Amino acid sequence: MSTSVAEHETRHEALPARPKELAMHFDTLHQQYSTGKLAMWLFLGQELLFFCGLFTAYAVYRGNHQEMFHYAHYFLDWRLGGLNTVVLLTSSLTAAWSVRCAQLEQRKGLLITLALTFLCAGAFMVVKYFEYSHKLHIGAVWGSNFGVATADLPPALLEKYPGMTGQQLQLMGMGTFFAIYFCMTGLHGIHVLVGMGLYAWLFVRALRGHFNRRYYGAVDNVALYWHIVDMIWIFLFPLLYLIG
Amino acid sequence: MMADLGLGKLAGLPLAQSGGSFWFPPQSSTVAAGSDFTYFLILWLCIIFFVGICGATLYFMVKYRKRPGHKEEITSTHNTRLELAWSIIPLILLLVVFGVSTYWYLEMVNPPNSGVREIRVEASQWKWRFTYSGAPFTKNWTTKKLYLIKDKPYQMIMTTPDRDVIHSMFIPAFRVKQDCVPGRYNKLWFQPTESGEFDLFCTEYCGRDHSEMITKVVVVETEAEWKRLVETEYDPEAYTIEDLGPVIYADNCTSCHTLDGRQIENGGPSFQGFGERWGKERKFADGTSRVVDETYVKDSLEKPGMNVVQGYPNAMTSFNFNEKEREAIIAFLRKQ
Amino acid sequence: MAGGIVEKPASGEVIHPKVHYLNASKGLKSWLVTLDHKRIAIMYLVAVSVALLLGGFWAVLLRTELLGPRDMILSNDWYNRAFTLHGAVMVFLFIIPGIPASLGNFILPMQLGAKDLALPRVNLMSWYLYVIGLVFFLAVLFLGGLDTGWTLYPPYSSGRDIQWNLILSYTAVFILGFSSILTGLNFIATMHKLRPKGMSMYHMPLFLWALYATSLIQVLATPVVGLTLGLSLVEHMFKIGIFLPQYGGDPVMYQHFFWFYSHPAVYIMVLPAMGVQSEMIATFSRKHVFGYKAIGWSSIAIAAIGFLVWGHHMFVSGQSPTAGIIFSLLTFFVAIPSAIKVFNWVATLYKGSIDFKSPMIYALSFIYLFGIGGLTGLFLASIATNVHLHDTYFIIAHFHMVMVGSVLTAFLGGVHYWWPKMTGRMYNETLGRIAAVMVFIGFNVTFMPQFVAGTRGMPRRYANYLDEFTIFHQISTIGAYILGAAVVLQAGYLLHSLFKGKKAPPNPWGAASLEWQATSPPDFHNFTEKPIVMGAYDFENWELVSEDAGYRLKREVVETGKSLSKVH
Repeated sequence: MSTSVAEHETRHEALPARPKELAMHFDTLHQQYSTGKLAMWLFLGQELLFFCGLFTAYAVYRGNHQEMFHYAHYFLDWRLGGLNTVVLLTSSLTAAWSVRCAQLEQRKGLLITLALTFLCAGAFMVVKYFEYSHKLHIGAVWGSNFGVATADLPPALLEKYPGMTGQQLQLMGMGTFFAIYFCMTGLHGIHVLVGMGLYAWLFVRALRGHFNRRYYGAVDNVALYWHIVDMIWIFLFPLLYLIG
Repeated sequence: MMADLGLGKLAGLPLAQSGGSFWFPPQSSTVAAGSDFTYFLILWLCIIFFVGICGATLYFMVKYRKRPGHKEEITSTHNTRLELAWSIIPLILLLVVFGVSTYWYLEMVNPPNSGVREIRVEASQWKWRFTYSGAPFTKNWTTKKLYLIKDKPYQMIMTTPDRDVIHSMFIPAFRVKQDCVPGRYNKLWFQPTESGEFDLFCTEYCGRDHSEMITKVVVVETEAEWKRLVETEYDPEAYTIEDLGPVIYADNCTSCHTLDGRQIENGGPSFQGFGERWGKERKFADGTSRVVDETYVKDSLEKPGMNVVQGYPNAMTSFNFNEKEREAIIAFLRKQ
Repeated sequence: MAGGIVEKPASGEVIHPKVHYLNASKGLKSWLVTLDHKRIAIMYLVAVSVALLLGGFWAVLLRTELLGPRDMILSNDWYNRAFTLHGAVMVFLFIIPGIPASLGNFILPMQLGAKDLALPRVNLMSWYLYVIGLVFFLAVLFLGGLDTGWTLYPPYSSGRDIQWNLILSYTAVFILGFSSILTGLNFIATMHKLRPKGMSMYHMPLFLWALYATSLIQVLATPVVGLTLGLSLVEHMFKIGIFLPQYGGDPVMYQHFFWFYSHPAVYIMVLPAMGVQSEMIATFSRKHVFGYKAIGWSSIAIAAIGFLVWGHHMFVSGQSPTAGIIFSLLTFFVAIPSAIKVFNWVATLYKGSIDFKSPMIYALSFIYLFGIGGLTGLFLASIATNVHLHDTYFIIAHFHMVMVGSVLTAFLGGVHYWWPKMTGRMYNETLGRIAAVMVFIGFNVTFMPQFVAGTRGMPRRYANYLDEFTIFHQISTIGAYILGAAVVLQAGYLLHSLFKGKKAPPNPWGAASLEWQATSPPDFHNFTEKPIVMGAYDFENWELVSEDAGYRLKREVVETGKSLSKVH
């Protein structure tokens, strides 16, 4: 043991001074970075399972109430949903770009891409706000609270089914669709808000010059999170807005 | 009838108070024997394995106990053949058990093709109602006990009102069980093979009086006897309005409303002094008020959430009574 | 060289460390903001013990009520609250976090030879989330309790008028879920990334394999229950109509979602217990564990199959018979890896030198209790018998044999096993053995009669029962008292040992996994010298010095830095 301890100590002395970013229990910055990344992937795994429950509920109710989902898609404006899809895809681009900037130590580029990602997320929430407020206004809401006056029904729906009344839709169980709609988009919206918080935090850290080519794990991990938020929307958009 | 795989007669024990064996109440339906056969098949397999495991453990405990002069020996740390053997043999045994079990389960879920009598089961907090509908029943009788005729197949169509909770109907002597779920119609069939009285329990936790939600299954030999029992158990036409009120009260209201002013936890207001309130304004939890009259009583029965008295939970389920029953309730309440 | 076990004089005198993790820094704050996994583990141990006592209190209360068929001490409402709080506290606050978060947190990095868990801040955060959950449940208690059953089935739960205690309970379980997820992902990341050189996956003690399998379930199943209870909370407040039939929802879907987590959760509970079991059996029979790979991989197999069997909780809920039959078949498959483990433990005893120290008594009773718990599971996997036994006392007895008989036994065994390492003190061995035997007897007296009550038709969750079941309940209650007395006795001598116990040597049992190379209690950095990486069951590397000084590494091992074992 005495030799192995001596060896250990010499090795320790031969090492360069520990970088200030390196936590006590890691040996190298790379080990620290890859540990953080693995943990992030595991976290994303649990995020997927979290949303899976809602996707299952969607599938079950869609199977049980085909007609309800058919009528429901008239209530959702695919143009607004499409706009949000474009906004989110753009933000994913800037998010990926920010990782690149952090790796290359392009400080200005990093600040710009972080800010752009934050702004795109904000734009998404603004569009969401208009969509939500319209639905709340006409009474296209969850459960037995659903009650849209016939006059407020989407014109496209009335054109296709002239005799349709709000009450008929209510009896059909349209409230269940909107329960699922608000849960899915609401939970996704909460994730977008969390993402905005994270990007604000990254922006401040970047301003203070915390990141460099050896230490950029936070930017990388938040970008991973942001991609999954984006990806979930890629599924939500067609399932809710496009399939009639 | 399946062979009794033993232990059945271990039953001379004082435990067997209501007949049956040490383990089970008497087999009283066509599927009970299959269920018990599967049980004893598994039981014996378990006993063999358990005795083996514990026997080996005990033997090693004694033989290899730490003591002066005894030292552990290094033995091989794995043995592929042995390990495969003790994985594959139990697997085969389990597949056999699965086969037997599934065979009997299919008996349980598939009723005979003809001659099945339908009974509608409505479970609600905390009572059972059985309605005998369709042919060959001549009239829609509703009873609190379940009346059956021996050796006739029955199909239960089971549900519970929308505002109520999940219940489950369990008849141990028949070895059958099925949940009553609001918003769904579940089915369960059985054919009693013995006459007599058997317990019927609620086995899905449903609130305060879950453990009082017990009734009886009465199996009789003949159609005539069945008819007599069903007709006399409860028939509003057989009572005067005066006499009917207390009967309805005793059957439906006692778990939440007292007559002596006593307050039942999480229940509704006592009926004491109801007659004095008649014709006067009454205030409700939502700030509204209305006059206590016949319509008020009717609404309170059918739409109990509409007027909730201040200080009480909105916990009552709705009741649909016919006109005579309603009259009886009103008369009964005015006398309090 | 300072510290290190190597410096022990040949006389066998043990040097006890003056500075260790417990006194490296002082004051309450140094604990509350600590990032040291060992301190967090101790804080977890304290918290889960509080939960155990709380859950146990309700158990004793409700068993007392059941002494007679009619009202004894509790009204129906209070009985319902008692069993709900007993279940909820025991499941969410004790059994699920019990072994992984307290023992696992302490032991995992040390068995790996690492300095800490991968994410120390996340580790502290998960403790705080746990405490918030605990506080919420205490608040529920003072807000008049909860009577929904721990399963919180709608419509009975979320369908009622808005209640604070229900809102708090949903939130508490949701938060506790995240505490559990964070612990799980922390463990997996640690086991992948912080293994030192020479420590391959197959070098890891089986406790770590078990924790790995547990963590997989925690990360993948817990989010589903988080979502389910989140939805229930929203539904309770806004009546959105996902699970409540009167608004268009389906209560059976809740059951599917709930059991998709809560069945795997049973394995979150039992797998770490099996891990502790593997360690104790090997150490106290001084034998390399038999079938290492089979035990390790069977943990993973249980975790995997565990995800596919949830439907066996709903054989009578109106799920289609076909689905029922498929779930029944899949459930039978779980029995195989569980059986493999039991056979391997028994085979490990063969030709060993079996030392009946308190942890070993727990380990041996584990084989017996898990034997019963596991085998009675077959009656419930079999659908023809399940229909009769579902929601009766048979179920109660079965899952208590597994969840309590096995998990609590392994937890208590593990606490005794690692107590010298964690606290640096030895407990009173005689009292330890007495308590262990009492626990064993208590379990059997409590739960054996319940099997028969169940087959005879006694439904669960009944505040009052028919007279014919009286005898079963009375025997059962006596058993519960024995169990309660054992736990009180344990609390007594364990606390006493903290102040008056003999100082513990680094390795009192002669165990071979790496944590025993550290001092007792360990240094703040876990190891003062880099530990010599060796097989977790290479007992031949250690020699007994004396009963008081425990075991030390053989000189040959210290000099070469290599294990003497030829096994691999």
